[in-house]
Amino acid sequence: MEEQEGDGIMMEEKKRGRDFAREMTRGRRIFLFCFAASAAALVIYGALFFYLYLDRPVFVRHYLDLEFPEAAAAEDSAEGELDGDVGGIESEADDGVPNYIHPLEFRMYYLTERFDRRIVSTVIFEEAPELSFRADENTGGPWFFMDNGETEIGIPCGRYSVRSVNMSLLETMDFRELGDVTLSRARVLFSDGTEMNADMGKLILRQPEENSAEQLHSDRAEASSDGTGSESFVASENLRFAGLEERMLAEMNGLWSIRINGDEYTEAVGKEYEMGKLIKVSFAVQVPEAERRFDIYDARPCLLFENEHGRQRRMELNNLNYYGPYAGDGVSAVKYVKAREAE
Amino acid sequence: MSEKYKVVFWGLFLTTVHINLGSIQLLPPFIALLIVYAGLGGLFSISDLNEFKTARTFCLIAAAANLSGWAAALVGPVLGRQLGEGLSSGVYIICEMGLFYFLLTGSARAFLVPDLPRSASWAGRENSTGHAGPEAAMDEKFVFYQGRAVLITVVFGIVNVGLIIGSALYLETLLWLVMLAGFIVQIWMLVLVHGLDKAWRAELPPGDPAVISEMGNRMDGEVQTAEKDPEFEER
Repeated sequence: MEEQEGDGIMMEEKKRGRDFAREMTRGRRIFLFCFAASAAALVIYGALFFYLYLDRPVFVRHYLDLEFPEAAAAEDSAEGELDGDVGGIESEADDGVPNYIHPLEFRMYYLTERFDRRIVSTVIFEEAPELSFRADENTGGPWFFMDNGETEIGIPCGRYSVRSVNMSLLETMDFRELGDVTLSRARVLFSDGTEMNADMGKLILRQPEENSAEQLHSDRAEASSDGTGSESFVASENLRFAGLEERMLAEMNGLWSIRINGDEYTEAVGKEYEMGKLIKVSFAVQVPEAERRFDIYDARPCLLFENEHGRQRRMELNNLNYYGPYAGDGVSAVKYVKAREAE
Repeated sequence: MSEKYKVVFWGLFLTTVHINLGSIQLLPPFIALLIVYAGLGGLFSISDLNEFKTARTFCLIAAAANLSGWAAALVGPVLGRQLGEGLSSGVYIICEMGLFYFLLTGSARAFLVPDLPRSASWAGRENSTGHAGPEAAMDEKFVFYQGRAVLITVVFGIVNVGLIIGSALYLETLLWLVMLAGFIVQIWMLVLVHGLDKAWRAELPPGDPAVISEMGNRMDGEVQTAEKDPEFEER
Protein backbone atom coordinates (compact mmCIF):
# COMPACT_ATOMS: atom_id res chain seq x y z
CA MET A 1 0.00 0.00 0.00
CA GLU A 2 2.74 2.41 1.04
CA GLU A 3 4.65 1.61 -2.11
CA GLN A 4 1.58 2.33 -4.24
CA GLU A 5 1.00 5.60 -2.41
CA GLY A 6 4.63 6.57 -2.96
CA ASP A 7 4.32 5.80 -6.68
CA GLY A 8 1.18 7.97 -6.84
CA ILE A 9 2.94 10.92 -5.24
CA MET A 10 5.87 10.46 -7.56
CA MET A 11 3.56 10.43 -10.58
CA GLU A 12 1.82 13.56 -9.35
CA GLU A 13 5.09 15.34 -8.75
CA LYS A 14 6.36 14.35 -12.19
CA LYS A 15 3.20 15.68 -13.77
CA ARG A 16 3.49 18.99 -11.94
CA GLY A 17 7.12 19.23 -12.85
CA ARG A 18 6.17 18.72 -16.48
CA ASP A 19 3.47 21.41 -16.15
CA PHE A 20 5.98 23.91 -14.83
CA ALA A 21 8.49 23.02 -17.52
CA ARG A 22 5.79 23.38 -20.18
CA GLU A 23 4.83 26.76 -18.79
CA MET A 24 8.42 27.93 -18.94
CA THR A 25 8.85 26.67 -22.48
CA ARG A 26 5.70 28.51 -23.53
CA GLY A 27 6.97 31.66 -21.84
CA ARG A 28 10.32 31.32 -23.60
CA ARG A 29 8.58 30.97 -26.97
CA ILE A 30 6.45 34.05 -26.36
CA PHE A 31 9.54 35.97 -25.32
CA LEU A 32 11.41 34.90 -28.45
CA PHE A 33 8.46 35.97 -30.60
CA CYS A 34 8.28 39.41 -28.94
CA PHE A 35 12.04 39.74 -29.17
CA ALA A 36 12.00 38.86 -32.89
CA ALA A 37 9.11 41.27 -33.54
CA SER A 38 10.94 44.09 -31.75
CA ALA A 39 14.16 43.32 -33.61
CA ALA A 40 12.26 43.29 -36.92
CA ALA A 41 10.73 46.66 -36.01
CA LEU A 42 14.22 47.97 -35.37
CA VAL A 43 15.37 46.80 -38.80
CA ILE A 44 12.31 48.49 -40.34
CA TYR A 45 13.22 51.62 -38.38
CA GLY A 46 16.70 51.62 -39.91
CA ALA A 47 15.33 51.05 -43.42
CA LEU A 48 12.70 53.78 -43.03
CA PHE A 49 15.27 56.12 -41.61
CA PHE A 50 17.43 55.92 -44.71
CA TYR A 51 14.43 55.98 -47.04
CA LEU A 52 13.00 59.12 -45.46
CA TYR A 53 16.23 60.86 -44.62
CA LEU A 54 16.63 64.27 -46.23
CA ASP A 55 20.25 64.99 -46.94
CA ARG A 56 19.26 68.52 -47.85
CA PRO A 57 16.19 70.61 -47.17
CA VAL A 58 13.32 70.78 -49.64
CA PHE A 59 12.05 74.28 -50.32
CA VAL A 60 8.37 74.39 -51.10
CA ARG A 61 7.39 76.00 -54.38
CA HIS A 62 6.32 79.58 -53.92
CA TYR A 63 4.01 81.02 -56.54
CA LEU A 64 3.82 84.59 -55.37
CA ASP A 65 2.84 87.76 -57.09
CA LEU A 66 4.58 90.61 -55.31
CA GLU A 67 5.05 94.29 -55.90
CA PHE A 68 8.31 96.14 -55.55
CA PRO A 69 8.19 98.79 -52.84
CA GLU A 70 6.66 102.01 -53.97
CA ALA A 71 9.02 104.94 -54.03
CA ALA A 72 7.94 108.03 -52.18
CA ALA A 73 6.63 110.69 -54.52
CA ALA A 74 9.55 112.79 -55.72
CA GLU A 75 9.31 116.55 -55.53
CA ASP A 76 10.79 118.13 -58.63
CA SER A 77 12.08 121.11 -56.76
CA ALA A 78 13.36 119.45 -53.64
CA GLU A 79 14.91 116.17 -54.68
CA GLY A 80 17.01 114.74 -51.90
CA GLU A 81 15.86 117.21 -49.31
CA LEU A 82 13.32 117.27 -46.58
CA ASP A 83 10.16 118.91 -47.74
CA GLY A 84 8.72 120.32 -44.57
CA ASP A 85 5.73 121.85 -46.29
CA VAL A 86 4.28 118.55 -47.44
CA GLY A 87 4.83 116.45 -44.35
CA GLY A 88 8.56 115.91 -44.35
CA ILE A 89 8.91 113.03 -46.81
CA GLU A 90 12.45 112.67 -48.02
CA SER A 91 12.03 111.52 -51.59
CA GLU A 92 15.56 110.45 -52.40
CA ALA A 93 18.76 109.99 -50.45
CA ASP A 94 22.18 111.17 -51.58
CA ASP A 95 23.13 107.83 -53.11
CA GLY A 96 20.30 107.99 -55.61
CA VAL A 97 18.25 105.33 -53.87
CA PRO A 98 14.69 106.52 -53.42
CA ASN A 99 12.90 106.24 -50.13
CA TYR A 100 10.25 103.62 -50.21
CA ILE A 101 6.84 103.68 -48.64
CA HIS A 102 6.07 100.00 -48.14
CA PRO A 103 8.78 97.38 -47.70
CA LEU A 104 8.62 94.15 -49.68
CA GLU A 105 8.36 91.24 -47.30
CA PHE A 106 7.28 87.65 -47.69
CA ARG A 107 7.86 84.29 -46.09
CA MET A 108 9.70 81.38 -47.55
CA TYR A 109 9.14 77.85 -46.31
CA TYR A 110 11.08 74.65 -46.43
CA LEU A 111 10.97 71.13 -45.03
CA THR A 112 13.92 69.56 -43.34
CA GLU A 113 14.87 66.94 -40.77
CA ARG A 114 13.55 67.70 -37.31
CA PHE A 115 17.00 67.50 -35.79
CA ASP A 116 18.51 69.84 -38.37
CA ARG A 117 19.83 72.77 -36.37
CA ARG A 118 20.97 74.80 -39.36
CA ILE A 119 19.11 77.93 -40.24
CA VAL A 120 19.01 79.90 -43.45
CA SER A 121 21.37 82.84 -43.39
CA THR A 122 21.36 84.18 -46.96
CA VAL A 123 19.26 83.72 -50.09
CA ILE A 124 20.50 84.91 -53.47
CA PHE A 125 18.24 84.60 -56.48
CA GLU A 126 20.07 83.60 -59.62
CA GLU A 127 17.81 85.67 -61.89
CA ALA A 128 18.50 88.90 -60.00
CA PRO A 129 21.58 88.62 -57.82
CA GLU A 130 21.59 92.39 -57.41
CA LEU A 131 18.51 92.13 -55.22
CA SER A 132 19.57 91.82 -51.61
CA PHE A 133 17.25 90.10 -49.19
CA ARG A 134 17.57 89.89 -45.48
CA ALA A 135 16.74 86.29 -44.55
CA ASP A 136 15.63 85.87 -40.99
CA GLU A 137 14.59 82.37 -40.02
CA ASN A 138 12.02 81.91 -37.30
CA THR A 139 13.85 79.83 -34.73
CA GLY A 140 11.05 79.66 -32.21
CA GLY A 141 9.56 76.19 -32.12
CA PRO A 142 6.74 74.58 -30.26
CA TRP A 143 6.88 73.81 -26.54
CA PHE A 144 8.32 70.40 -27.34
CA PHE A 145 11.91 69.91 -26.22
CA MET A 146 14.34 67.50 -27.70
CA ASP A 147 16.20 65.06 -25.45
CA ASN A 148 19.11 67.38 -25.01
CA GLY A 149 16.88 70.21 -23.81
CA GLU A 150 17.10 72.26 -27.01
CA THR A 151 13.88 73.52 -28.45
CA GLU A 152 12.98 72.36 -31.92
CA ILE A 153 13.18 74.80 -34.75
CA GLY A 154 10.06 75.13 -36.84
CA ILE A 155 6.78 73.30 -36.68
CA PRO A 156 6.96 69.50 -36.55
CA CYS A 157 5.28 67.70 -39.41
CA GLY A 158 5.73 63.98 -38.93
CA ARG A 159 9.32 63.05 -39.61
CA TYR A 160 10.18 66.56 -40.83
CA SER A 161 9.76 70.08 -39.61
CA VAL A 162 8.39 73.05 -41.51
CA ARG A 163 10.66 76.05 -41.28
CA SER A 164 9.84 79.59 -42.26
CA VAL A 165 12.17 82.37 -43.27
CA ASN A 166 11.14 86.02 -43.23
CA MET A 167 12.46 87.63 -46.38
CA SER A 168 12.82 91.40 -46.56
CA LEU A 169 14.04 93.14 -49.66
CA LEU A 170 16.79 95.54 -48.69
CA GLU A 171 16.19 98.91 -50.24
CA THR A 172 19.66 99.40 -51.58
CA MET A 173 18.84 100.39 -55.13
CA ASP A 174 16.28 101.98 -57.36
CA PHE A 175 14.05 99.03 -58.24
CA ARG A 176 12.40 100.99 -61.05
CA GLU A 177 15.46 100.22 -63.15
CA LEU A 178 14.72 96.52 -63.02
CA GLY A 179 11.22 96.49 -64.42
CA ASP A 180 9.27 93.32 -63.62
CA VAL A 181 11.37 90.41 -62.39
CA THR A 182 10.59 86.70 -62.16
CA LEU A 183 12.58 84.67 -59.66
CA SER A 184 12.70 80.91 -59.48
CA ARG A 185 16.20 79.62 -58.72
CA ALA A 186 17.95 80.51 -55.53
CA ARG A 187 21.26 79.80 -53.87
CA VAL A 188 20.64 79.29 -50.18
CA LEU A 189 23.39 79.60 -47.61
CA PHE A 190 22.97 78.08 -44.17
CA SER A 191 24.35 79.04 -40.79
CA ASP A 192 26.81 76.14 -40.79
CA GLY A 193 28.41 77.35 -44.02
CA THR A 194 26.72 74.79 -46.29
CA GLU A 195 24.79 75.93 -49.33
CA MET A 196 22.37 74.53 -51.85
CA ASN A 197 20.51 75.46 -55.01
CA ALA A 198 16.77 75.41 -54.62
CA ASP A 199 13.79 75.54 -56.93
CA MET A 200 11.66 78.24 -55.37
CA GLY A 201 8.73 78.01 -57.73
CA LYS A 202 7.92 81.37 -59.29
CA LEU A 203 8.07 84.73 -57.61
CA ILE A 204 6.94 87.65 -59.70
CA LEU A 205 8.14 91.04 -58.54
CA ARG A 206 6.17 93.70 -60.37
CA GLN A 207 6.51 97.40 -60.44
CA PRO A 208 3.68 99.00 -58.50
CA GLU A 209 0.55 99.93 -60.43
CA GLU A 210 0.70 103.60 -61.30
CA ASN A 211 -2.84 104.36 -62.30
CA SER A 212 -4.93 103.52 -59.30
CA ALA A 213 -7.89 105.34 -60.76
CA GLU A 214 -8.58 102.29 -62.91
CA GLN A 215 -8.85 100.01 -59.91
CA LEU A 216 -12.20 98.71 -58.80
CA HIS A 217 -12.37 98.24 -55.07
CA SER A 218 -14.71 95.82 -53.43
CA ASP A 219 -17.22 97.09 -50.91
CA ARG A 220 -17.35 93.83 -49.13
CA ALA A 221 -14.91 90.95 -49.03
CA GLU A 222 -14.99 87.68 -47.21
CA ALA A 223 -12.73 84.69 -47.15
CA SER A 224 -13.03 81.43 -45.29
CA SER A 225 -10.40 78.97 -44.16
CA ASP A 226 -12.01 76.33 -46.37
CA GLY A 227 -10.69 78.22 -49.40
CA THR A 228 -13.90 79.91 -50.43
CA GLY A 229 -14.56 83.62 -50.47
CA SER A 230 -16.16 86.47 -52.30
CA GLU A 231 -15.71 90.13 -53.10
CA SER A 232 -18.60 92.32 -54.11
CA PHE A 233 -19.10 95.89 -55.19
CA VAL A 234 -21.81 98.05 -56.65
CA ALA A 235 -21.10 99.08 -60.24
CA SER A 236 -20.62 102.84 -60.32
CA GLU A 237 -21.03 102.86 -64.08
CA ASN A 238 -22.14 100.45 -66.76
CA LEU A 239 -19.52 97.74 -66.99
CA ARG A 240 -18.80 94.85 -69.31
CA PHE A 241 -16.69 91.92 -68.20
CA ALA A 242 -13.74 91.65 -70.56
CA GLY A 243 -11.82 88.73 -69.15
CA LEU A 244 -9.32 87.62 -66.59
CA GLU A 245 -5.73 88.69 -66.39
CA GLU A 246 -4.06 85.67 -64.94
CA ARG A 247 -0.61 86.01 -63.64
CA MET A 248 -0.10 82.68 -62.01
CA LEU A 249 -3.35 80.85 -62.34
CA ALA A 250 -1.68 78.42 -64.74
CA GLU A 251 0.48 77.21 -61.85
CA MET A 252 -2.69 76.83 -59.80
CA ASN A 253 -4.08 74.57 -62.47
CA GLY A 254 -7.16 72.73 -61.34
CA LEU A 255 -7.23 74.28 -57.90
CA TRP A 256 -9.45 77.27 -58.35
CA SER A 257 -12.73 78.51 -59.72
CA ILE A 258 -14.12 82.03 -60.14
CA ARG A 259 -17.74 82.96 -60.59
CA ILE A 260 -19.27 86.34 -61.29
CA ASN A 261 -22.82 86.63 -60.04
CA GLY A 262 -23.04 82.85 -60.18
CA ASP A 263 -21.65 82.45 -63.72
CA GLU A 264 -18.35 80.78 -64.47
CA TYR A 265 -15.96 83.60 -65.39
CA THR A 266 -15.40 82.09 -68.84
CA GLU A 267 -19.13 82.23 -69.53
CA ALA A 268 -19.38 85.76 -68.16
CA VAL A 269 -17.02 87.27 -70.73
CA GLY A 270 -18.91 89.98 -72.64
CA LYS A 271 -21.67 90.16 -70.07
CA GLU A 272 -22.81 93.65 -69.09
CA TYR A 273 -23.58 94.92 -65.63
CA GLU A 274 -25.69 98.03 -65.22
CA MET A 275 -24.74 100.90 -62.99
CA GLY A 276 -26.01 100.43 -59.43
CA LYS A 277 -26.16 96.66 -59.69
CA LEU A 278 -24.24 94.47 -57.27
CA ILE A 279 -21.41 92.48 -58.78
CA LYS A 280 -20.38 89.56 -56.63
CA VAL A 281 -17.26 87.67 -57.49
CA SER A 282 -17.02 84.38 -55.65
CA PHE A 283 -14.05 82.08 -55.74
CA ALA A 284 -12.95 78.74 -54.32
CA VAL A 285 -9.55 77.17 -53.89
CA GLN A 286 -9.18 73.44 -53.37
CA VAL A 287 -6.57 71.72 -51.27
CA PRO A 288 -4.19 70.14 -53.78
CA GLU A 289 -3.04 66.54 -53.84
CA ALA A 290 -0.20 65.52 -51.50
CA GLU A 291 2.45 66.10 -54.17
CA ARG A 292 1.55 69.83 -54.20
CA ARG A 293 0.09 70.22 -50.75
CA PHE A 294 2.96 72.17 -49.23
CA ASP A 295 3.24 74.69 -52.07
CA ILE A 296 2.18 78.30 -51.78
CA TYR A 297 -0.05 79.97 -54.31
CA ASP A 298 -0.93 83.62 -54.15
CA ALA A 299 -2.07 84.31 -57.69
CA ARG A 300 -3.85 87.65 -57.32
CA PRO A 301 -5.69 87.45 -60.62
CA CYS A 302 -7.26 90.59 -62.06
CA LEU A 303 -10.79 90.75 -63.36
CA LEU A 304 -10.93 93.15 -66.29
CA PHE A 305 -14.03 95.26 -66.91
CA GLU A 306 -14.64 97.93 -69.50
CA ASN A 307 -16.93 100.93 -69.23
CA GLU A 308 -19.04 102.38 -71.99
CA HIS A 309 -16.10 104.38 -73.29
CA GLY A 310 -13.88 101.35 -73.53
CA ARG A 311 -11.76 102.31 -70.54
CA GLN A 312 -10.46 99.40 -68.60
CA ARG A 313 -11.31 98.84 -64.95
CA ARG A 314 -9.34 96.27 -62.99
CA MET A 315 -10.37 94.34 -59.96
CA GLU A 316 -7.68 92.39 -58.13
CA LEU A 317 -8.70 89.31 -56.16
CA ASN A 318 -6.40 89.38 -53.18
CA ASN A 319 -7.72 86.37 -51.35
CA LEU A 320 -7.48 83.73 -54.04
CA ASN A 321 -4.55 81.95 -52.47
CA TYR A 322 -3.41 78.72 -50.89
CA TYR A 323 -0.75 78.52 -48.21
CA GLY A 324 0.22 74.90 -47.83
CA PRO A 325 3.16 74.60 -45.46
CA TYR A 326 1.00 73.95 -42.41
CA ALA A 327 -1.82 72.17 -44.22
CA GLY A 328 -0.16 68.80 -44.55
CA ASP A 329 0.41 65.96 -42.14
CA GLY A 330 3.38 63.63 -41.74
CA VAL A 331 2.27 61.25 -44.49
CA SER A 332 1.64 63.99 -47.05
CA ALA A 333 4.99 65.53 -46.09
CA VAL A 334 6.70 62.27 -47.06
CA LYS A 335 4.75 62.12 -50.34
CA TYR A 336 5.58 65.73 -51.09
CA VAL A 337 9.28 65.29 -50.36
CA LYS A 338 9.48 62.11 -52.44
CA ALA A 339 7.68 63.81 -55.35
CA ARG A 340 10.06 66.76 -55.18
CA GLU A 341 13.09 64.50 -55.01
CA ALA A 342 11.89 62.62 -58.08
CA GLU A 343 11.76 65.82 -60.15
CA MET B 1 17.58 37.38 -1.73
CA SER B 2 15.54 40.23 -0.32
CA GLU B 3 18.56 42.52 -0.18
CA LYS B 4 19.44 41.78 -3.80
CA TYR B 5 15.90 42.49 -4.93
CA LYS B 6 16.13 45.80 -3.12
CA VAL B 7 19.20 46.70 -5.16
CA VAL B 8 17.41 45.66 -8.37
CA PHE B 9 14.37 47.67 -7.33
CA TRP B 10 16.33 50.89 -6.80
CA GLY B 11 18.24 50.38 -10.02
CA LEU B 12 15.00 49.95 -11.96
CA PHE B 13 13.46 52.86 -10.10
CA LEU B 14 16.26 55.13 -11.26
CA THR B 15 15.91 53.97 -14.87
CA THR B 16 12.22 54.88 -14.67
CA VAL B 17 12.45 58.17 -12.81
CA HIS B 18 14.91 60.62 -14.30
CA ILE B 19 16.29 63.34 -12.12
CA ASN B 20 17.35 66.27 -14.25
CA LEU B 21 19.12 69.50 -13.47
CA GLY B 22 18.01 71.63 -16.39
CA SER B 23 19.02 69.69 -19.46
CA ILE B 24 21.58 67.60 -17.56
CA GLN B 25 20.48 64.18 -16.41
CA LEU B 26 22.00 63.64 -12.99
CA LEU B 27 21.74 59.87 -13.05
CA PRO B 28 21.57 58.55 -16.60
CA PRO B 29 19.92 55.16 -17.14
CA PHE B 30 23.19 53.39 -17.89
CA ILE B 31 24.42 54.07 -14.36
CA ALA B 32 21.10 52.92 -12.93
CA LEU B 33 21.38 49.78 -15.05
CA LEU B 34 24.76 49.05 -13.53
CA ILE B 35 23.03 49.05 -10.14
CA VAL B 36 20.52 46.54 -11.54
CA TYR B 37 23.46 44.55 -12.92
CA ALA B 38 24.99 44.38 -9.44
CA GLY B 39 21.69 43.25 -7.94
CA LEU B 40 21.27 40.55 -10.59
CA GLY B 41 24.82 39.40 -9.89
CA GLY B 42 23.86 38.92 -6.26
CA LEU B 43 20.73 36.97 -7.21
CA PHE B 44 22.74 34.74 -9.52
CA SER B 45 25.37 34.04 -6.90
CA ILE B 46 22.70 32.99 -4.40
CA SER B 47 20.43 30.99 -6.67
CA ASP B 48 22.80 29.88 -9.43
CA LEU B 49 19.94 30.27 -11.90
CA ASN B 50 20.94 30.94 -15.50
CA GLU B 51 17.98 33.27 -16.00
CA PHE B 52 19.61 35.87 -13.75
CA LYS B 53 22.81 35.50 -15.74
CA THR B 54 20.94 36.11 -19.01
CA ALA B 55 19.14 39.06 -17.43
CA ARG B 56 22.56 40.46 -16.51
CA THR B 57 23.70 40.17 -20.12
CA PHE B 58 20.63 42.05 -21.33
CA CYS B 59 21.21 44.61 -18.59
CA LEU B 60 24.76 45.18 -19.71
CA ILE B 61 23.80 45.53 -23.40
CA ALA B 62 21.03 47.96 -22.44
CA ALA B 63 23.54 50.03 -20.44
CA ALA B 64 25.96 50.02 -23.39
CA ALA B 65 23.15 51.02 -25.78
CA ASN B 66 22.14 53.87 -23.50
CA LEU B 67 25.73 55.02 -23.23
CA SER B 68 26.15 54.91 -27.01
CA GLY B 69 22.94 56.93 -27.34
CA TRP B 70 24.53 59.60 -25.19
CA ALA B 71 27.64 59.48 -27.31
CA ALA B 72 25.54 59.77 -30.48
CA ALA B 73 23.82 62.84 -29.04
CA LEU B 74 27.19 64.54 -28.93
CA VAL B 75 27.93 63.77 -32.58
CA GLY B 76 27.36 66.83 -34.72
CA PRO B 77 25.97 65.56 -38.03
CA VAL B 78 22.23 65.10 -38.18
CA LEU B 79 22.48 61.64 -39.71
CA GLY B 80 24.77 60.17 -37.04
CA ARG B 81 22.95 61.77 -34.20
CA GLN B 82 19.44 60.93 -35.27
CA LEU B 83 20.19 57.40 -36.43
CA GLY B 84 22.52 56.70 -33.51
CA GLU B 85 20.02 57.88 -30.94
CA GLY B 86 17.18 56.01 -32.62
CA LEU B 87 19.00 52.71 -32.91
CA SER B 88 20.48 52.87 -29.43
CA SER B 89 17.03 53.60 -27.99
CA GLY B 90 15.63 50.64 -29.94
CA VAL B 91 18.34 48.29 -28.67
CA TYR B 92 17.86 49.68 -25.17
CA ILE B 93 14.15 48.96 -25.00
CA ILE B 94 14.54 45.48 -26.54
CA CYS B 95 17.19 44.63 -23.96
CA GLU B 96 15.05 46.07 -21.22
CA MET B 97 12.32 43.67 -22.29
CA GLY B 98 14.83 40.79 -22.09
CA LEU B 99 15.97 41.99 -18.70
CA PHE B 100 12.40 42.09 -17.38
CA TYR B 101 11.52 38.68 -18.79
CA PHE B 102 14.57 36.87 -17.46
CA LEU B 103 14.45 38.65 -14.12
CA LEU B 104 10.85 37.56 -13.58
CA THR B 105 11.22 34.07 -14.97
CA GLY B 106 14.39 33.57 -12.90
CA SER B 107 12.57 34.86 -9.86
CA ALA B 108 9.74 32.44 -10.56
CA ARG B 109 12.17 29.53 -10.77
CA ALA B 110 13.88 30.67 -7.60
CA PHE B 111 10.77 29.66 -5.71
CA LEU B 112 11.42 26.09 -6.77
CA VAL B 113 15.06 26.02 -5.80
CA PRO B 114 15.25 23.66 -2.84
CA ASP B 115 18.12 25.07 -0.86
CA LEU B 116 17.05 28.70 -0.61
CA PRO B 117 15.81 29.89 2.77
CA ARG B 118 12.03 30.31 2.88
CA SER B 119 9.99 33.20 4.02
CA ALA B 120 7.90 33.02 7.16
CA SER B 121 4.96 34.42 5.29
CA TRP B 122 4.76 31.29 3.16
CA ALA B 123 3.86 29.00 6.04
CA GLY B 124 0.39 27.67 6.66
CA ARG B 125 -0.83 27.96 3.07
CA GLU B 126 -2.67 25.36 1.11
CA ASN B 127 -2.98 25.24 -2.62
CA SER B 128 -5.37 23.53 -4.97
CA THR B 129 -3.25 20.43 -5.20
CA GLY B 130 -3.59 19.85 -1.53
CA HIS B 131 -0.07 20.88 -0.62
CA ALA B 132 0.17 22.97 2.49
CA GLY B 133 2.85 25.19 3.97
CA PRO B 134 5.83 26.66 2.11
CA GLU B 135 5.57 24.30 -0.85
CA ALA B 136 2.04 25.52 -1.60
CA ALA B 137 3.26 29.08 -1.66
CA MET B 138 6.10 28.00 -3.95
CA ASP B 139 3.63 26.68 -6.49
CA GLU B 140 1.57 29.82 -6.38
CA LYS B 141 4.48 32.18 -6.60
CA PHE B 142 6.09 30.30 -9.44
CA VAL B 143 2.86 30.38 -11.43
CA PHE B 144 2.26 34.04 -10.54
CA TYR B 145 5.69 35.35 -11.53
CA GLN B 146 6.02 33.12 -14.58
CA GLY B 147 2.62 34.38 -15.72
CA ARG B 148 3.64 38.00 -15.11
CA ALA B 149 6.88 37.45 -17.01
CA VAL B 150 4.90 36.36 -20.06
CA LEU B 151 2.30 39.11 -19.70
CA ILE B 152 4.86 41.85 -19.25
CA THR B 153 6.82 40.56 -22.23
CA VAL B 154 3.76 40.63 -24.47
CA VAL B 155 2.84 44.17 -23.40
CA PHE B 156 6.45 45.29 -23.67
CA GLY B 157 6.73 43.69 -27.12
CA ILE B 158 3.71 45.66 -28.35
CA VAL B 159 5.08 48.83 -26.77
CA ASN B 160 8.47 48.25 -28.39
CA VAL B 161 7.07 47.73 -31.87
CA GLY B 162 4.85 50.80 -31.49
CA LEU B 163 7.68 52.88 -30.14
CA ILE B 164 10.14 51.89 -32.86
CA ILE B 165 7.71 52.35 -35.75
CA GLY B 166 6.29 55.52 -34.17
CA SER B 167 9.80 56.93 -33.86
CA ALA B 168 10.60 56.09 -37.47
CA LEU B 169 7.58 58.01 -38.74
CA TYR B 170 7.21 60.45 -35.84
CA LEU B 171 3.63 59.42 -35.29
CA GLU B 172 3.20 61.57 -32.24
CA THR B 173 -0.13 60.22 -31.00
CA LEU B 174 1.16 56.66 -31.21
CA LEU B 175 4.39 57.69 -29.51
CA TRP B 176 2.56 59.32 -26.62
CA LEU B 177 0.35 56.26 -26.18
CA VAL B 178 3.17 53.71 -26.24
CA MET B 179 5.38 55.86 -24.05
CA LEU B 180 2.57 56.02 -21.51
CA ALA B 181 2.10 52.26 -21.79
CA GLY B 182 5.86 51.75 -21.42
CA PHE B 183 5.89 53.88 -18.29
CA ILE B 184 3.02 51.86 -16.85
CA VAL B 185 4.92 48.63 -17.62
CA GLN B 186 7.97 49.98 -15.79
CA ILE B 187 5.88 50.93 -12.77
CA TRP B 188 4.28 47.49 -12.90
CA MET B 189 7.74 45.94 -12.97
CA LEU B 190 8.74 47.97 -9.93
CA VAL B 191 5.69 46.72 -8.09
CA LEU B 192 6.55 43.12 -9.00
CA VAL B 193 10.17 43.48 -7.89
CA HIS B 194 8.98 45.05 -4.68
CA GLY B 195 6.70 42.04 -4.25
CA LEU B 196 9.68 39.73 -4.74
CA ASP B 197 11.62 41.66 -2.14
CA LYS B 198 8.72 41.25 0.26
CA ALA B 199 8.33 37.56 -0.56
CA TRP B 200 11.91 36.83 0.36
CA ARG B 201 11.88 39.02 3.46
CA ALA B 202 11.77 37.44 6.96
CA GLU B 203 13.51 34.38 5.65
CA LEU B 204 13.27 31.18 7.58
CA PRO B 205 15.84 28.47 7.53
CA PRO B 206 14.89 25.73 5.07
CA GLY B 207 11.68 24.10 6.20
CA ASP B 208 10.88 20.47 5.85
CA PRO B 209 13.79 19.25 3.77
CA ALA B 210 11.80 16.41 2.30
CA VAL B 211 9.07 18.65 0.91
CA ILE B 212 11.41 21.37 -0.29
CA SER B 213 13.72 19.07 -2.11
CA GLU B 214 10.74 17.44 -3.77
CA MET B 215 9.54 20.81 -5.01
CA GLY B 216 12.96 21.78 -6.17
CA ASN B 217 13.22 18.77 -8.39
CA ARG B 218 9.86 19.11 -10.07
CA MET B 219 11.43 20.73 -13.08
CA ASP B 220 13.26 17.52 -13.85
CA GLY B 221 10.30 15.38 -12.94
CA GLU B 222 12.28 13.64 -10.29
CA VAL B 223 11.43 13.37 -6.67
CA GLN B 224 14.39 13.66 -4.44
CA THR B 225 13.95 12.99 -0.80
CA ALA B 226 15.78 14.74 1.94
CA GLU B 227 17.50 11.56 2.90
CA LYS B 228 19.12 11.37 -0.50
CA ASP B 229 20.15 15.02 -0.55
CA PRO B 230 23.53 15.43 1.07
CA GLU B 231 23.29 19.24 1.08
CA PHE B 232 20.26 19.18 3.34
CA GLU B 233 21.85 16.60 5.52
CA GLU B 234 24.81 18.89 5.99
CA ARG B 235 22.59 21.80 6.84
